[in-house]
Amino acid sequence: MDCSKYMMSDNVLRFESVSLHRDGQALVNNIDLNVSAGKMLAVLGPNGAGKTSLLNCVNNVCDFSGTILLQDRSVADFSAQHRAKILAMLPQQSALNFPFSVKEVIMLGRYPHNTGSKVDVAITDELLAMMQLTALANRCYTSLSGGEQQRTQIARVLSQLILDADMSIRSGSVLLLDEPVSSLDLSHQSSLMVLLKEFCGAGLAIAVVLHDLNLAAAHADKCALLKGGQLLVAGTPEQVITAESIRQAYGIEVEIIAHPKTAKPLVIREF
Amino acid sequence: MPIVLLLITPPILFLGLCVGPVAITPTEVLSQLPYLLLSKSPVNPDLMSSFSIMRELRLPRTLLAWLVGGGLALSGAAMQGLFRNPLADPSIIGVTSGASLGASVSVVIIGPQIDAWLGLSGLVFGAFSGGLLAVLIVYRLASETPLSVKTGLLSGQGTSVANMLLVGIAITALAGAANSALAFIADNETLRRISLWNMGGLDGANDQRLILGVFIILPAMYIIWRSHRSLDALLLGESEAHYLGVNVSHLKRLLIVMVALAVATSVALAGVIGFVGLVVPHLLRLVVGPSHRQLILCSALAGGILLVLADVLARSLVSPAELPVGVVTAVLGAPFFILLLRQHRGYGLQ
Repeated sequence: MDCSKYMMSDNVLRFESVSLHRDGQALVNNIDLNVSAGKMLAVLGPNGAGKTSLLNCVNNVCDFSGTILLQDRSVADFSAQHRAKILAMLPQQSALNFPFSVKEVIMLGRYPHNTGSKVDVAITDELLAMMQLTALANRCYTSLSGGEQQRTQIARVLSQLILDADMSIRSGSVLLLDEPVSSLDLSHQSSLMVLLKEFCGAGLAIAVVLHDLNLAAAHADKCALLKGGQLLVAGTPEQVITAESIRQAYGIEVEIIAHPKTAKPLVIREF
Repeated sequence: MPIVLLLITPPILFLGLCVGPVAITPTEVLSQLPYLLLSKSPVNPDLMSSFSIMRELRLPRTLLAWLVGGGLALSGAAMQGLFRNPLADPSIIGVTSGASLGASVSVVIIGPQIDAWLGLSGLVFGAFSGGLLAVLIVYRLASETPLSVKTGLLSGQGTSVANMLLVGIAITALAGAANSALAFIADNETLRRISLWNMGGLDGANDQRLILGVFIILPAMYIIWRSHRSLDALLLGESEAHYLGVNVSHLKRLLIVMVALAVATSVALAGVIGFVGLVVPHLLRLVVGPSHRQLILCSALAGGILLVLADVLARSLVSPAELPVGVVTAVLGAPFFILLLRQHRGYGLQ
């Protein structure tokens, strides 16, 4: 296996002048952006800014213009199975309405791997524990609350990238998450972000769409702020989350202070 | 569960040989069973009449019922997975109505009595080609209809299952209208023949039909079963399956072609038999869960068992006359289905 070919901070997912037009409208307009191995990129912006469309472009059947490189190769050049082992995506909403158990849903993430059911079960058990789902393992997915379903789906996309029972992942793998915390309570929001950072430590590159700017500031290594399909600003949380850029993107007035403990930017709304 | 179904299959098939207008005792069936499968005549000439009843009529009929029932139920499981809808059934892609129309056309034009080729009537060929033609039309029309922006994540290629569903309904309605028009102009004898055929019946079973079924339905069933993991992934949604490495458009095409072949053949050989394809997989999902490895296997076995049983009832309830087998499957299964749905509240449609 071609392990650890990618060093930390190598750009494993690169958007180069990516545009996506539909019905004559630019959903994504000429965006250049990099996602690095071992780093978490938060994709921010108001509704309809093109965040989801941008992530969907990575899906190689979307007819965008420009170039998207996954580990320096065009996404279309990978075989479906090889691509699935290094690139996973969690869509915003889940269409699953068949009565799988939580365990079975996570197991579906093992589709591209041929590691055998013993390893698959071990990985699933581990992920159940990580996502605090062990007690729900045999519950029917469709009977869960929205947040529980979301945690199950996150565990499923993680299981897609895991190579073996030691929970290792191939360095330079990419995980795309579209609003993974939208249904999660405060405590699960932070524990998920901490868990994702641990996976980053193993070389995973993450691009995550978030609406909570403070969550992004606290956990992301890099932020990208989109509006109207265009990239307004990208950089460290301190560079991106400023009163000026938020006024530009969202049209609201906010005050930015340094977090008393972490010194990261903290957005205070003027109600 | 597959083991249980596998174990009760031989006794059910055995029952199919015993029961009928001429009752044959189980011991007699048992004593002749080896010769039945291997030769064309009994060892003891005194038993010629019961032997030929079993050999010429009941054996091909029972096996054909088993094959058709299994094929329909398995196709239903595949369609419910492909459309991610537990209410889907094999006729959803237009194959049944197309076959029905093809059969009517051949009955009206060629007439019911002409045995065309290899002991297979023109009706069989009419139904088979009608079924495949209808699926082809549905597939082409659905591929050329633009995808909606919301479901069109995988736009630019492939066929949206939502479009297929809608076009399938339209083509079914069209074929139904054409069928009614044919029935309207047909004389009484032809009309009766068409309407009986639409109720399903295995009375035309013979070795040729059985062989045709074995060579088309069995391979199609096997190919569908091999896609069980991809079908599981597809239940997550099409873009999710794509990200998991499933070639979604290839999978769709493969399933539709195989289901079309299996169902068109079933309908051609045994008429329109409703209920089996919709309800058997649905029932089994309550028992074995939605995972297709078990579901497809169990659906095939249970569908076969159900149709053999239904056929046994069809030819023994009003003996020596016969009930249409489609009537029996519905009368048998519908109350059972309702009972199960009531017990598993919340497991049906979410």
